[in-house]
Amino acid sequence: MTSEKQHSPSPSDQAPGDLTPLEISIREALLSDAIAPPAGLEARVMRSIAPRALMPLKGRVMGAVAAGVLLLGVGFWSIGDSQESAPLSPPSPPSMEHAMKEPLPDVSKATDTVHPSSPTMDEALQNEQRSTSEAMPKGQSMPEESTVRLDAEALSPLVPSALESGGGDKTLSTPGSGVQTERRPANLELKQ
Amino acid sequence: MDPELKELLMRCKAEERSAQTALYRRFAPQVFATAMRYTDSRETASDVAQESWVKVFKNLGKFTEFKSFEGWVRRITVNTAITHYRRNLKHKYHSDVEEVLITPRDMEAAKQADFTMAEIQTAMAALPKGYRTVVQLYLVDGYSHKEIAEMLGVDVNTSKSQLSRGRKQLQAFLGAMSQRARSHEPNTKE
Repeated sequence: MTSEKQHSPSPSDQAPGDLTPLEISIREALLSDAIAPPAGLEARVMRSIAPRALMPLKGRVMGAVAAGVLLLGVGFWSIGDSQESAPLSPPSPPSMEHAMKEPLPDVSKATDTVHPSSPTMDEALQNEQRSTSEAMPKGQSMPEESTVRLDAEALSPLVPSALESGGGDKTLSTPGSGVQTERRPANLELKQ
Repeated sequence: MDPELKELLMRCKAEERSAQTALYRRFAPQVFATAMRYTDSRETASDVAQESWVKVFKNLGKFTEFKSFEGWVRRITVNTAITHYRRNLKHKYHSDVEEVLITPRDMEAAKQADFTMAEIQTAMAALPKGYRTVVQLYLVDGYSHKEIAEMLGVDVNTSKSQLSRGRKQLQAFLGAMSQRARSHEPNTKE
């Protein structure tokens, strides 16, 4: 074990000095050896060293598109959900802001305390219809409920909780069941 | 340096695809042979060779023409193979050592005979993996004991003792093969 090469620039090019003739011949034989690599190795190597600048960009674009589609899907789903659960929009954006600031009412309490046939609800309904028809110019008919609800949908991403606060229990808001018009005064009464 | 190789390397540094393919085809057999020396199968050698080539192309900018390109590539391949070996080391360094009966007649026979490449490879493959790795690193690839100790994560004295035992076993294997070839009796090793 002599010839310890320290800091040699390329030790693999030099043979240690203590090799026997047999070991020298073994070394030369092994170093000159060449074995044909497997056929697929070249393709693997070339694939590995191929520039990948476009790949992450493509991946990022695909990711953004997928995220957009996902968000759209979630948006449509939530709109559809709020359309079913929220019967009416608040009358104007300021009232919506007010609704946002207000703590959410206890829905269970609201459904317990408000009865559809109570005079307070009827009065509130009539008052609202009156005010809406007064705000409209004469000769124009009041927009249908579906239009009003679409406006509410447009605003719904801003205050989904406020819209939902008008509904509360989804089981009560089945379309066509007539419960929607009954629950609207309840919401109004709560705000009052 | 060969002017043709020099130009090829310059084109490879410019990431010219055809030059990279040409460089690979020129040195792939040597790289694969080196990888085969340090591994047990063609599959593992393929993995080592692929990883080595990726390193070669990635670090080509650091290579200067004053060095031997073949030696530089071989060094990368050996280092990659050793890294692979250590990563997959599932046994203690000494655990795979099998003592073989070494007779003076075998040692003498080995000195006097000429061996084919197949015989050398067979004798190398017969060495325990720990011995074989140190023998390859020291005898064939010219690393010092200090470098071997760092590469394998062992003590310098361990590297020396492994080399000493590996050398004796290699010589014994070759001598035994030589005697068998002369006597035409395949099973008279001991």
